[in-house]
Amino acid sequence: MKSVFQKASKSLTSLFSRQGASGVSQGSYAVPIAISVVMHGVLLVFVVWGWQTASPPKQKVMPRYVEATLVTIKPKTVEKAASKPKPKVVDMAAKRQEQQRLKAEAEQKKRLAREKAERERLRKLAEEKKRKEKELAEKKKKEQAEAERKRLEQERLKQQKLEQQRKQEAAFADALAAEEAMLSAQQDEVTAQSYVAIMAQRIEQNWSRPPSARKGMKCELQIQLVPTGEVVNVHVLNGSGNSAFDRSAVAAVKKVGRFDELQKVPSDVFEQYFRQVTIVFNPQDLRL
Amino acid sequence: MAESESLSIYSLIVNASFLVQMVMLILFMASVVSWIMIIQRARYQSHARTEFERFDSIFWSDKTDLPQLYREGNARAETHPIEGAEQIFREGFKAYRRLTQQSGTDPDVIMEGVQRAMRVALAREEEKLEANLPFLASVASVSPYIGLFGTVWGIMNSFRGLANVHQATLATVAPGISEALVATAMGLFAAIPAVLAFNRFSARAETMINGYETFAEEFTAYLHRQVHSSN
Repeated sequence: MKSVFQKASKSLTSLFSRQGASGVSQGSYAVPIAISVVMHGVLLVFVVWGWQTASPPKQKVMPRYVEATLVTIKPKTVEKAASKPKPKVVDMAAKRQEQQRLKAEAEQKKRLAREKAERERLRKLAEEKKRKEKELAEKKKKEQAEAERKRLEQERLKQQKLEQQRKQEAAFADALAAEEAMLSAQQDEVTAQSYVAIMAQRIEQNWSRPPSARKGMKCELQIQLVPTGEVVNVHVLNGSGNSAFDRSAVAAVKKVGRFDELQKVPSDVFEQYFRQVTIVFNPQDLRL
Repeated sequence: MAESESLSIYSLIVNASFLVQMVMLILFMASVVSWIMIIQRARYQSHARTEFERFDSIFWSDKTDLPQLYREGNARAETHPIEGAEQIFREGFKAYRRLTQQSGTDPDVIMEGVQRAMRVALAREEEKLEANLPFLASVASVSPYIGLFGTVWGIMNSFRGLANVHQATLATVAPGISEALVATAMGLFAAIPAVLAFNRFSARAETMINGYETFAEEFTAYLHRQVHSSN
């Protein structure tokens, strides 16, 4: 990196100091090049990072808060750990011998008790084994009877289920057909809506704003169309209250003349929605 | 947070169109080179001024012997080149010595030769003082226009994109315009130091050249006296 820079500065120096050949130099260019490049580098770094350093302080607040709660927990555990061992050390020193003696006595007692317990345990185990065997035999009989009963019941349930399924399937098919019909109707409505939106846009584009138009004005237009998209008749259903606005809306529809987009509409949709269509003309780009 | 990030200067530069980026690069390079020139000029001219003042005071002190001064200059000329008024003096004195050594030369011919030698040296010094100033002048006058070109191009593009939008708000135009304005800012950033430096350095070079000319005239007058008194 440095060597490249030095080479560049050298070549630049030789390039600029043409007068060096005639025996007069003007001072070297290396220092100015270094200063200028460093200056611009600092500026670049500032531009890249300087604008981003302004926001981070807000983020730093959160980690500090979490750290604070951690610090408050730590001292408690340390204190507990520190307070317990001290008394133990004192006690242990005093009682160690006595404890040893007591331990030895206790161990002897324990050994005797353990032997007794062992004998008793063996006896109990033998008794228990016999009892368990009897119980097992009884259980098996009961289980067999129950299994038979369950099998019969399951078969009955299966038949019932099959019948139910058949009924459900029939109902499902009916519902499906109804739903499909509804869906297709809905889809038609959606396509119709989208074409209505396109029409509204075309009208808006061809509309010239009367000076008295204000924000929020709208009027309902009833347009009669033929399948080629040509407008047969227009009239105002519900006016905005401003006759100039209503007239301008009607004029806009007449100016459009033919909605070419409607030629793409499927004929059944057209018959259902566009033979006579009601459009709410509500221009959005009013400033007042 | 996300929005402020997307409008930082860095991202504005990175997301600009290719032509605007090229304009920014050219302006940045112009700024770097013009600062190299500025620093180099400042160093050279201040050096020339201190040299001139030093030489002037030595030359006009009563004790100075001119042949002695010339010989001292010879010794120094071997290590580094001599500049400014001293160079003018040396050229003039060299010519004077050469012409006076040829016996029987007319005083007017001697003076003419000395004056010619000094004029040549003066012209060379003038050229050195004013080197690189034309570059600063052209950066100063052209870089605002380059920046403006980048801005106009950027705004043009942002408005062309706007034509397809149905509803125009300030938010759709503002990023493009602020992106484009970076180019103008960079143009001004390159131009302002160049203008200031050009004015300052050309004025300084002018005063230095005046000083040299005055010195050359005085030295001529001195030699003139010498030539005519010796005859």
